Amino acid sequence: MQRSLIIFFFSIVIVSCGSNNSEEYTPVPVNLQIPELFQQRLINPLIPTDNPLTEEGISLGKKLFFDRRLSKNNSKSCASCHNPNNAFTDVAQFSVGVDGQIGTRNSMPLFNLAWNFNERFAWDGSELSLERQALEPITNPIEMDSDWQDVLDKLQQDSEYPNLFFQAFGTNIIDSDLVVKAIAQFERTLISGSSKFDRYLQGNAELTSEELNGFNVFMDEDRGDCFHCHGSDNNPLWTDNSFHNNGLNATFTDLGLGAITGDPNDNGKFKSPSLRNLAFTAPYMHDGRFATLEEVINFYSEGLQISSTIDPLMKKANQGGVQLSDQDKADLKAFLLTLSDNEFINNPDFRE
Amino acid sequence: MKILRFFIIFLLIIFFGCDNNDDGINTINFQFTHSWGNQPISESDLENTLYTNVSGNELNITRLRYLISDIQLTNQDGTLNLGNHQLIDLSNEESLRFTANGNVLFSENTTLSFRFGLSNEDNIDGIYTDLNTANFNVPNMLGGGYHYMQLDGSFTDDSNANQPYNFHAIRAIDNTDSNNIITTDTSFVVTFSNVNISRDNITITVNMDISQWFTNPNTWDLNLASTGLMGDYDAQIVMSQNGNNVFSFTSAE
Repeated sequence: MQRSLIIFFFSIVIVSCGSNNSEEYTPVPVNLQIPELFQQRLINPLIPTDNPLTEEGISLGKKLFFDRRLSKNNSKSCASCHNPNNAFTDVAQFSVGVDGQIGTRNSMPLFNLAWNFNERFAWDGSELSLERQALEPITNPIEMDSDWQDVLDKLQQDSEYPNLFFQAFGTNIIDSDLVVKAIAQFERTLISGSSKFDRYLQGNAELTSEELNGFNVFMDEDRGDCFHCHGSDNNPLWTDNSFHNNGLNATFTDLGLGAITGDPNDNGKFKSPSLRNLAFTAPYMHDGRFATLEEVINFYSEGLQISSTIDPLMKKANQGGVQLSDQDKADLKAFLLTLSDNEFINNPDFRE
Repeated sequence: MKILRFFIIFLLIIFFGCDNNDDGINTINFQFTHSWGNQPISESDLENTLYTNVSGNELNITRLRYLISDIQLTNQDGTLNLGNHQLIDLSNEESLRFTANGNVLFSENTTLSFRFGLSNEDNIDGIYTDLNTANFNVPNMLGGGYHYMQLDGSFTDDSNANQPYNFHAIRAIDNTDSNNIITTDTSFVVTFSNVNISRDNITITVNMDISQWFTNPNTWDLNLASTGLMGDYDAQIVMSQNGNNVFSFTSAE
């Protein structure tokens, strides 16, 4: 009798601990393909435990990213404003929404998002995870202007989506949480790490003397002093993923981070964008005010505006800027363009 | 009956054996606090509170990030190393507290030491992925490696104008002569003796008095030096000398 009890007990333990329902579909886990340079110089990317990457989830996210049915009148997809040709931004100063409305912010490019460890996304840091970021444009009246229930109905009635959701998440009942999880999975795979400068750092490319001088301008505290906010050869993200008032305005019409935190000290602060892929991401700044890199460089050189929250790292703001020579300006531009990654924008995995 | 007794013992071993913490592993918590003299400073003071240094410069603080390394506890039984480095960021509450584990014997006469910055041996360009990710690097043209500290803010200058300051501490470098580049390790070791490690899971609190960076032994006037200090060899030496007085031991409890 005692022996039977023990066998019974162990049977329960073994069966309950080894739950393995063979009929349940199991998505295939995916490890991000991290560039060697990133592996050497950065900590591992952040993948939320409640949304691990899977082949099925990424594939579904990609399909959703390019699906215009996420918008009210089936006219706009995520890719409409986040175009792969433009490193997942667009060429407009302000993107155009479904009914022709325009906003006040330039569309942000999308890449290397899994290395944003403070988890604040968007120019003003309003979105506290990639999943939450993906929720917002669907219903924003100046973007997709849709209704989540309408979107879910469209997806649920589709001939493919219910099965794709089942394969990715084990359920064919589609909800907004799963939609944004899939989109976020796809977005985390958008890794840009194969620019000319990356190859230079790995000994596989040479820079011109102009590009090298431009890099020195970037790293020189007495000239460009760009590295304090925009990364370096040791931080190939080329951003600190933080928020600064870089001296764009003397007074604020757009409070940026300050509107989110409610702290007046954050007024006029916006996320430092990565300097990767600048060849594809014009116009520049949170409001797309600069059409060219020359305008951007001239701004930092002579055009800074003083305000109450300007970052002290803009140390020459009282003189208008860092006062670069024409040669240094040209060389800085040449260097910045070496950070652009043609392999990234042409990667078929990231295209419709 | 014998089998049942054996089975109960087996279960007891399973349930309690995995959570046994009796093999001398102790937990030490560290807490770094900040002040201006006796006035505590927290994240909410950033950009909000004005301070006056010994030179009469009225200033605020926008950013304070600094690096400590080689944290050690030493008593009569030897020295315990408690981790390589820690980046402390006043705006990041989580970074102000950290925990180390190790075999620490209880003692009233323990010496706590840590290094502000990184020693020359450890200050190797690009090798720390966490510090690279935190954008704490020093350009190669300034010797490479890492910042020891970034203390940024603004002050009112002698003409009553608002000016920025970037009080950035790094390994001192004089590269005015490219054929004779001089570097000096300006990191320094902070030591507190007679720390009473009386129990497991104890919290050691250390304070940085930020005003001391401008005070002792060298009086610092931001009107004379406020930005572009990374490449200023003499400024880095002065910072290092003043830094020796900024940390104090608060408690172990």
